[in-house]
Amino acid sequence: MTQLSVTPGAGRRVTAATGRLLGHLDRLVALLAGAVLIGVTVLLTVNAAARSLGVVLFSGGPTLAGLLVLWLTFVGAYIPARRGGHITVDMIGDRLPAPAFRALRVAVALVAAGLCAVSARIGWEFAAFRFASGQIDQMLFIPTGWFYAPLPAGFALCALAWLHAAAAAIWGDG
Amino acid sequence: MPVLALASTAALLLLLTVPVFLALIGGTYLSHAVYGPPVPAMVFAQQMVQGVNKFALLAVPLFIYASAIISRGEIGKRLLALVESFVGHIRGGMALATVVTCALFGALSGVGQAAIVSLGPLVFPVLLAQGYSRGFAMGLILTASTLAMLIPPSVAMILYALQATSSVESGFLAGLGAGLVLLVCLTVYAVGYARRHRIPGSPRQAWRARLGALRGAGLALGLPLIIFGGIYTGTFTPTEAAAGGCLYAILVEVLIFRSLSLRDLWTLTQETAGTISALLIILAAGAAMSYLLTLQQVPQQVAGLLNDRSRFEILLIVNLTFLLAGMVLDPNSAIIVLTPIVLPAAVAAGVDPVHFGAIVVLNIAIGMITPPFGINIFTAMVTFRASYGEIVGALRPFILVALTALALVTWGEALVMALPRLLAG
Amino acid sequence: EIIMKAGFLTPIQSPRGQGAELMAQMIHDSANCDIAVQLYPSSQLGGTTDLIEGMQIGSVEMSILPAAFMVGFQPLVGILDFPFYFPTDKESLLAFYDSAAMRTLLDTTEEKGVKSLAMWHTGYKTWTANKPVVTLADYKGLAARVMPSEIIKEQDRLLGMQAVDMPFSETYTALANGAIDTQENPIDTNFFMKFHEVQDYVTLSYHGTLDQIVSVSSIFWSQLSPECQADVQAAVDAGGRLTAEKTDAVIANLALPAFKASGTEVVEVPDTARAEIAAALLPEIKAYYVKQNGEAGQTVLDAFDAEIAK
Ligand code: NA
Ligand code: NA
Repeated sequence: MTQLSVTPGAGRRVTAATGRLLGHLDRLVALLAGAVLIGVTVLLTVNAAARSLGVVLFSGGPTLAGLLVLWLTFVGAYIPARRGGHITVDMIGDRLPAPAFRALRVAVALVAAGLCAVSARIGWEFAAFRFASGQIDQMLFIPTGWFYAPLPAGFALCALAWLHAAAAAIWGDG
Repeated sequence: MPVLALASTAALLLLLTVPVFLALIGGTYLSHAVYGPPVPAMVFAQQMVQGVNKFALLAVPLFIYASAIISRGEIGKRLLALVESFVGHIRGGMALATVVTCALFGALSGVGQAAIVSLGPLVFPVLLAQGYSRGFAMGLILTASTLAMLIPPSVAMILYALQATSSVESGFLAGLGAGLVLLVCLTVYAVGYARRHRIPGSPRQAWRARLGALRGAGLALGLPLIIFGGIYTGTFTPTEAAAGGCLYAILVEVLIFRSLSLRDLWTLTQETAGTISALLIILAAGAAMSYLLTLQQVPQQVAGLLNDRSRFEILLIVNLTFLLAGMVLDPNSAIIVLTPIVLPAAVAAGVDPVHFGAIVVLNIAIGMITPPFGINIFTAMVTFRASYGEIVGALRPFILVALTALALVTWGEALVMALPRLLAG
Repeated sequence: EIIMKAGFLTPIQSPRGQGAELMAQMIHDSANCDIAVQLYPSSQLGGTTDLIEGMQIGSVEMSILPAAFMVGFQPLVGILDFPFYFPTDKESLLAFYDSAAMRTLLDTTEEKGVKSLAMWHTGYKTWTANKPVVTLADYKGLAARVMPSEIIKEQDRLLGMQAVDMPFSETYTALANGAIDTQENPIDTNFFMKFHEVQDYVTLSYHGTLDQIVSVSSIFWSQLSPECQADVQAAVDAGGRLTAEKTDAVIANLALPAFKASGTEVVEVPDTARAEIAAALLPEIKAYYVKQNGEAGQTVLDAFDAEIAK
């Protein structure tokens, strides 16, 4: 910590600036996630209602709903990552003294950022491979890569969120 | 030892308060890096996506959404006022109503978490108002929600029957038997609890007041009608019923009850989307982990334990195995991977495959509420905004109740097999 | 020692599971191969296309999958979904699978990183419904579960059916409560999925197959000596013969008696009805296939037409 405290002002300024940037991202992701949720609801209802009337509007309805939920799952994971809303087994945190608790927060955020970065990387490799293979989904007629793209996108966003959380825990939120 | 590496890494990360999905991922990556097998790591990306890309799973986000809408709007309150007007004055009545509603709901959805997220936020405040403790209310809702996996139709039972090449019909009936055993055990415990703690309940209401509550419910009754009616008439699959229920709830709350403004609805939708991601991404991570365990031939190691054992020992080992598996795997993967491995030993020891199916599904269901890892526990954390410690503490007596039911189902064959023998021949 | 993970969709005790076990044993016994075969039944390594993706990235060595799943990777394979096209007696069909025309088609998967070794016959497709589905008129207006295949979607459209995208795991419940009216699968699949418990009729239309392409990852294949490749090929062929035999045995000894016991009626389709539907469907199906695949499609189609006309 001593080394870090050499330039606390600069650290805090950078943290604050990235925080503002991520704030815009927060609004964008929340907007998309909300739109997807409403979209899936309407899509499945209309699809089922049409079927009961003997009409097929779009036979890929459930597949499209599944695709949208994939985007919601991985990209949407950025929202709880920013708000500390991911599910944790919180058995020790509040029993620690304050400095240890802060150190733990930094460590957890860095571990989380690292694991997300690794996941984003392998997700990128796999999605790129799927796009390159030219494989087409047989219900939606789009490249199957679109089913895998949300994973690297979401994990990359989460890695950013936790890097910022680590910085904020070290230098303060500014 | 790849399993130990995986489990200990995941446990350590969990203990350090790393989010659950990352703890699972971390354990998986580490065990794979050290012990192999030599498959490219990007296969975990494939498995994570496939872990979420399942149609039956779509019902979960939609029920979460529906429950968020009706618990902040009017529909939930009106439906509960109706139920309370009929059973609220009976000591333990609301607890009983909770169990029965969860069972009915489970009959439809087949997904344990769906009952927690859709009924939990409604029933929870009412149980508190009646004088039950937070812990009792949460434990009751969580345990009753596992009935979804037992009361037919049950996806888990279909998957079991496929693996065991036994009849789905008989399996459904056996599951119903096991579900009733658990239901009775829960009811006995809940009513006993209400007596012991002298839970006051609410005053008895006159029939006039009850009819008033029925009229008051009005359009709110349309929601269960859409969900139950839609599924039983074949108009909707459970997933579509969840979507239709959402849309109905939105229209009624916003346009007719005017309990939610469009702005409220939009805020609530965005918040709910985040909650849904937090839950689904755990299933994604679990899929990567379960894939690695399969590749590392862990299930085959379990089979080795079953050689030359008595019927009693085999059933005990099976109980323990599935309980442990339910702690880490999603129920459907656990059934697919483990059934073919343990079934031959059980059959050789004279256990009827249909009876065995009920044992397996009940085991898996209980695994979902047993710590350290249970998807119903995590679902409850986001639903009730409670801490992990609080929920695990609350579940302790209920796990004992569930284990009692398991013992009855395992060693009281007649309880489970009566229905299939009577009806399915 | 090379590990060969082989994935397929059905339980180990299914006919193709038993074929896979024989194949594994023969590869184990081969003096020319040093391969440890691990069988992963019941979609344990993944459901459908993930196994093919797995062979491409090298996480799976072998898959035994309905040919339809290969179509997203190699659209030419869609010809195997043609309805009312292939011979309805098993011997002619198996002879067709051994033909040069078939080999030409199978070789087209190699450009996708997948070497296709053989076709395993797992029975002819039938329709289950609460009524017989024999003539063209019987199909009209039924809500049918559609497989993820353009050709099969086109088939359903030409038959006047409503194509419903229904996940396999929900099909039993959907048939039971009437969300869909009908679905197509081989007899043994209907039996293993217990569809007869919720359906009154099984119509033996034999309008196509869902036969399995046995394929291996090209990366894996190139690591084997030519002698070992020959032994693996022989083991796969033997597994295929056993699978076809076991399929017949399951149909005769288990499936048909179970249908009978549950009161599900088995309906035959006369050749005249089959010919009538073929005449109504095939010209448009072929045109669709050629439009989709261009010149390569025309070449495959001509070779298939010529072989079938023999
Ligand atoms: Na159920
Ligand atoms: Na558990």
